[in-house]
Amino acid sequence: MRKYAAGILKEFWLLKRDIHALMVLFVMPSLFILIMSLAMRDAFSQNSEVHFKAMVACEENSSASRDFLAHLKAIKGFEWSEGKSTQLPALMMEHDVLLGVIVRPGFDEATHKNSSQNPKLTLLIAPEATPLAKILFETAVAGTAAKINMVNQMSSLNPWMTREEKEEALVEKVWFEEHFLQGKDTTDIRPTSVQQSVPAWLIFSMFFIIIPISNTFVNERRLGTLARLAVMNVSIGNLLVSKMIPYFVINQIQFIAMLMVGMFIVPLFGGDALRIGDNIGALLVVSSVLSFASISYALALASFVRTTDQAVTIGGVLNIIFAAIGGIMIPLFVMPPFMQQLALFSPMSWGLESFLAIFLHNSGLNDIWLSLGALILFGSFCLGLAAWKLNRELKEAQ
Amino acid sequence: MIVVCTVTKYFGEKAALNGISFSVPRGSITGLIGRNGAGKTTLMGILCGLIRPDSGSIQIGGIELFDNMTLAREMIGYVPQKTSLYPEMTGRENLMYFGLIRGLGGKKLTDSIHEVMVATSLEEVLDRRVSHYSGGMQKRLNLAIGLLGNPPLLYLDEPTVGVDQESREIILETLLKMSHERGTTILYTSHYLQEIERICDRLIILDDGVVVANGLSATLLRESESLEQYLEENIQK
Repeated sequence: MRKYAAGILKEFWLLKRDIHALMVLFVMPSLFILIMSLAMRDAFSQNSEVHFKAMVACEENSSASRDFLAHLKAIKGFEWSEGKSTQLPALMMEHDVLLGVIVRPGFDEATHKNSSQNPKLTLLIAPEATPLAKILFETAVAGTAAKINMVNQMSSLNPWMTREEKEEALVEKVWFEEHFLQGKDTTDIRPTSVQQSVPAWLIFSMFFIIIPISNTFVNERRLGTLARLAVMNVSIGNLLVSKMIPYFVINQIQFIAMLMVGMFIVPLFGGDALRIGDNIGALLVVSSVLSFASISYALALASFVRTTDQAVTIGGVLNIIFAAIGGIMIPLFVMPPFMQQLALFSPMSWGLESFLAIFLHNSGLNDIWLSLGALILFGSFCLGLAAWKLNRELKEAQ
Repeated sequence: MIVVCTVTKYFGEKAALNGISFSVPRGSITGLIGRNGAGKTTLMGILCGLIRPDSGSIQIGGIELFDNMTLAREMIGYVPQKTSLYPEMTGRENLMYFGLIRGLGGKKLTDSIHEVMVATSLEEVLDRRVSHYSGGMQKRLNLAIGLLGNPPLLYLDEPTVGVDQESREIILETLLKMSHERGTTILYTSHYLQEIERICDRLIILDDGVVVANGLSATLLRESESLEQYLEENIQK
């Protein structure tokens, strides 16, 4: 027992002097959480503040074109300005507007007919416009035109229809209400960017435990301290366990600290506050399993490299790759399907999926056992690899 | 204190140790010398229990080393050639850590740290980080760790390599004091023949994996002016 206590004490002594590692473990994820939560807030927000700039030009002054313009401008997500049709391409370029529409002469007449062979609307799309913006724009324009068309046809069939009745028909009806799925239940609480960024950057920083671990471990191997400890009856199991315990504590402090950043610091800067749901026990289990996986991975890596520089470089690059494919840097849902399949190879993704399942769906351990099992297997494999390498190295050292 | 009986160790086809036997009496300072590749490091590894021999037996204080490794190792204080320390910890923290590993605690640990600190003249720098120590101070701390808990048997592997004269003197004097006052058995390897000659009362000379000379220094060197001359005349021919 005294040997374990000594090992734990030693790791804390070393860690408290490793300021750079502590910065990476605590300051880096806090900043990432803050920045990414604010940067992605609108992408997650249902009351989006994202506006696509769009321009409209009318070559016809009719009640249909006026109605079209008025209803187009009422659609959320677009910031409209007007110009002359001949100057529209130049104006769009000058003002960085990516989307434009020109109402051609004959629009009013076309809206009274069943079908029109000659389009009376011209869309101008800049090459920089994203496919999503293009689709939204086309849908908005087509939907508005269809509505004007429907009302005008109704008035053709009913010549006694008053202006008020036409306007009433054009009023947007509320067709649906929105609820968000939370497991098998529904909720009116919407998902936020902070629910993605807190677990994502927490996991990223947990894997950076490689820095303090390798700083100590590589030196122990290089300076022959492992052989000295072996002569003092310290087994490899003893050594690995007494390394895992302090770093596990550090990981758990990171976990609590990052939740606090999400809950209390991000709102101070205008972001949404993190809601962690009701399943605190499951969160603690995920955090513990993730910690086991990240520490074992760090120990395995630190057992194979020769210098701390190598550990930091190789570990850093691998972490960034795991993060990039694992949905840490870019949420998985915006990735194409083949990239989402690739995420299955990142242990960071297994952890992130577990956290998100708890935050967004109120899931329990029953729902995330597969991800947790994968993390435990990964951690056990890495730990076994580290023990095998150290054992071999101790024999080779002599 | 140490009885080595027909120990053989092969690395592939090459015999690093070829059926060597010797004994190290309790309280002696025994110099283990030989050219590079003679088998000193392999022998040291076997005596520490880090390498298992292909055949033969080793007894430490009457205990069969490979049958009861934990108990046998408790008698050994090991000072490796590399300064196996934690440079970012202070000297005191290093001593506390290795002391706890050695099984010391409470007053025993405090007393032992004080004792080895005085013996190696590190009192003034003990609360400084080891990375700020000179090479000689680091070697002295390396020795101090080996002395923790006052082990009855001490293995020293080139403890004075790259050390300044002052630290060398402190190290050698400490070893002599340990042997004379405590009766510590010391097995000492070094390339500095003058050091061996000065402190060792017995010699084991290894060459090509076999013991070519073993006995009291005074007896072995009685017809030579120095150890260097003895080796030139008897071993390096």
